[in-house]
Amino acid sequence: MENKSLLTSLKDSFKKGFRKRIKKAETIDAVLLLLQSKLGKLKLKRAEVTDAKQLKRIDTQIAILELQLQKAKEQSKKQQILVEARVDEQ
Amino acid sequence: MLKKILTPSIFLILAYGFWLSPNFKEIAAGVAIFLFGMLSLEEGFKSFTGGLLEKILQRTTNRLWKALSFGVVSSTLMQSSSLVSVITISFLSAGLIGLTEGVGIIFGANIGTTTGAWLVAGFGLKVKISAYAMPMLVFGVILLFQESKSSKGMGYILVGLGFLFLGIHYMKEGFDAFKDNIDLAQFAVTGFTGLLLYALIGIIATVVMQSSHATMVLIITALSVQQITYENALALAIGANVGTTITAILGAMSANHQGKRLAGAHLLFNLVTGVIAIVFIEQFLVAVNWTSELVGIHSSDDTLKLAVFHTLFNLVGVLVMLPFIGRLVALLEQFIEPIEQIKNKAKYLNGASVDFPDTAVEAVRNETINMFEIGLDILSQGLSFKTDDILSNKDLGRIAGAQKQAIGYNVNQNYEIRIKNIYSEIISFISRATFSWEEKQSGRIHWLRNANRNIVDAIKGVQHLNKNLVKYAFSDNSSIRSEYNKIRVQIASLLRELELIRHQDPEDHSILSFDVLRAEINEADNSLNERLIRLIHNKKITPLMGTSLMNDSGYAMDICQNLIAMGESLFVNQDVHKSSVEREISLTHEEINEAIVNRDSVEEV
Repeated sequence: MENKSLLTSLKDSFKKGFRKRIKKAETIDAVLLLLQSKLGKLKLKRAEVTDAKQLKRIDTQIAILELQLQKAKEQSKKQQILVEARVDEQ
Repeated sequence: MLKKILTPSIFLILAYGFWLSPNFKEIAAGVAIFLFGMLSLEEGFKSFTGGLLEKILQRTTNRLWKALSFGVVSSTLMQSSSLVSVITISFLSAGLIGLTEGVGIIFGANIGTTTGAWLVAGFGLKVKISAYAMPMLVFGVILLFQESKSSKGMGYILVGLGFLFLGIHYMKEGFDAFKDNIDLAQFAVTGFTGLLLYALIGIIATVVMQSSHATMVLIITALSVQQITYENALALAIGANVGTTITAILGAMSANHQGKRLAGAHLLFNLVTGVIAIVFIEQFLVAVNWTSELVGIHSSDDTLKLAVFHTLFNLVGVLVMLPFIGRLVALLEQFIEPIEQIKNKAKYLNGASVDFPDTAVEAVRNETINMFEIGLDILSQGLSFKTDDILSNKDLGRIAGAQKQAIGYNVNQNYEIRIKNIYSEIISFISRATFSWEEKQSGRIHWLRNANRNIVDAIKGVQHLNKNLVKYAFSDNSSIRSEYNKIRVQIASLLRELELIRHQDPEDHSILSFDVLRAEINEADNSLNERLIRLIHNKKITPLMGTSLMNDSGYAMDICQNLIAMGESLFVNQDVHKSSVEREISLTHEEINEAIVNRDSVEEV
């Protein structure tokens, strides 16, 4: 009886951890999409701006977004690997 | 309670006196007219306050000796040390002068007020001053009916002087007639007992009449007709000097702590002076005779000798007390502490929401936003900007450049009164609320608690920065002025930006969008450091200024970092999963610098 309950709780904990991983991977992907969309919009906006001060700010935003995007992609890949590893374990 | 009993008792005694003697009635009427004259005079001088008087006071009280001279001159001109005290208290309360200067004015006013005795003894009794009183009253009343404030003021002064002269005349007449019927001198008490007894009578008379000036006039007129002995008159003068402080204390009861301190200084000064005069009365008598002889006063002219005595013992009092003025101020500041101002209280932290985690989080969030709003005001003023200017679209650089002087603002005091209490209530609420361990360690409540700390740290940073900012942002050296203005404009612009973000939809902003603000701050700091080296190298600023600027740019950086961190926790979408992912993706200091390098390399291409 005790062994069964231990097994159940292990299963529950595994499921919980798995759900958490999936949720995180989903959130990262959502953030990634948002960043891509923002970057696209900014690049379009840049073409219209002529004011030097505003242009500098947009360029800063673009440079920052590109780095964030790069980080987000790395994170996404990492999460993907972790989720796949869990699926294999299961 | 005492006042309730005192007034009817005085009424009864006076009525009995009037019934008993018509001469007493004349003397009492003289005192009443004299006091009314003083009130008119005060009213007249008050109409000149709010401009000229303040300007003079500000310019002439920045040194102790100047404050002392101002006290002497102003109370001589106004013939009212109490009006000088009232103005001094108002300036002290407004922070325009310090307590030391305020005490200096009071000391000076004590010497200045002795000129009244000289005027009455030397002029009032020798000349038929009622002849001057009548035209003064007529011209004064005509001026009172004029439209302009200054004409009215002049009117009050003339009417006041007229009544003063008329009052003296009636007192003199009354005592003249009195001496034919009753000889008050028969009640004279000699020796040390007489000295103490008459000093006490002088105190009581001054408390009742609320004017040492009136008591002195009464003493001089009574002395001029030998109704009191010279010896007793001296004791009465000492008593009048002590009694006047009771008037000041009564007046200061409704004043703030600064007014109370000044009244305390007045009391201590006059008590010490009184004790010195009583203890060294023999020496004073010798000094009075010697001085009188020196200035050509006849040895039988007791009234003028009384004026000499009055001036001498006040002068000695000032000479004795002046070296201890610093200690006196320290003592007063130690014993009369500011009345604790009503501290701000939390608006949203309700005990009922403690048991409901979601409601409790929302309460903490709202309270933190409330704290930010108060903090924004403190930070703005600490940077010497008006909060409204920061919240507007005005060019902050131009405002900073046009400012001629700093806003006098005590950041720490405002933190203590307006923020500290709310902050401690938030921390206490969080500890009482039933949040999960996770929520407290890494969830929403964790970040809100951090946001609170960020606000407090930003205020503390501005408190440090404020010291040099006040000094250098308004300096004659244009280079250091420009650098400090850049620092305060940078922080103020960030505050404006955060305020804009706060009022936008939280969905439009993510934690990641704050990295741009971080990049801009890093850039500003880097270029400041580059300029700093050039400025020192080109001798535009001294190395000492450079060190201050370097330290303060550090403070500015910390303030901005704290404000951005606060914004990230407070003004964006509260989704826990999204926040945690965004915090992982958010750029580090080095990555931000890398992004700037990337941007610049693209621009160069």
